[in-house]
Amino acid sequence: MPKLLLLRCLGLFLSAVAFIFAVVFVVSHYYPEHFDKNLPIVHLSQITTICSNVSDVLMASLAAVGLLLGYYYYKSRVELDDNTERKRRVRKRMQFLLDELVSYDLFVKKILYFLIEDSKDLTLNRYRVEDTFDRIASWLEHNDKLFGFSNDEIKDILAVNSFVDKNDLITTEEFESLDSKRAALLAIKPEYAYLFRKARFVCMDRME
Amino acid sequence: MERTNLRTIDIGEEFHNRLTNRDSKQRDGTFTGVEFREKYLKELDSKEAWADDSVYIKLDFSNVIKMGPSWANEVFGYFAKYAKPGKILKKIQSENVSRVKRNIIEQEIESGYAKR
Repeated sequence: MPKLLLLRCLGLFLSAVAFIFAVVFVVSHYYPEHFDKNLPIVHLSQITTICSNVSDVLMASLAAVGLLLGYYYYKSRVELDDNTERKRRVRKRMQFLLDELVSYDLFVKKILYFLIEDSKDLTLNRYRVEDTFDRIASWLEHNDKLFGFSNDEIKDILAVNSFVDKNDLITTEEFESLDSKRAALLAIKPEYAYLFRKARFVCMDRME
Repeated sequence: MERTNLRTIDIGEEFHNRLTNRDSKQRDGTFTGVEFREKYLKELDSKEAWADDSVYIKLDFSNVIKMGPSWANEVFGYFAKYAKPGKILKKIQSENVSRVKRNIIEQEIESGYAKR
């Protein structure tokens, strides 16, 4: 933005100089009596000729500079608009990713806190955990270029599901057996919570 | 240095396009990592197989829709007991794999084999 402001000021200054010069030329040419009457006419016409020539050259130069400035301004403006649009798209898609992560967290916590009614509910919840992260992984793949995550950042997001997917209590244990292992479930919560926070932070850091 | 009889496996076509289960205990217990490893990577299950840096096999992921960490851990992470991550990735090369799937593989190798 400062660059744009500088260009605008430069453009205004050059326009002002050109305007002043044009005024001097017109006034001296059409209203010679406003100049010093003691000057010989031949000197006045010489002055106006010089002014006219210099004015022609200056006008042409200013026109060229004006065109260049105008083109540069247009390019900068297009770049700014593209950047703004890109940021808007990133924000919107990142919000979807965050929403899916939050859903994933709710389904995992339902198991960790054993808020499960029966075996059927457990199976359904496990399916939801898997299905939600499928969407997260697909979204990451589909928007890889737009998001611009580093490999480490992608691994931070994947780490939470790596932990969950490889944990027998969360993914495999039978409902009846899990009921008696509630303490064990709660014991893994801190590590899960840490990994989830890291994953969420990676996404939130991109939300400008 | 590559082997003269280097094999390329199109996993999606020759095995399955959804790679999620570690073993028969996980989910529906089909198309597991254990099954894949024993079918295609059995020769690598020894210290001697990791003595050199040659490429053993190439895995083509172009027809794989989904890959889960448990499957990757069983197939790739299993060999962490024999070699460092770089060597595992060199010996079992992956092709046509997205950045996300590649990071899943690398992560499971780096984290080591999660024994059951």
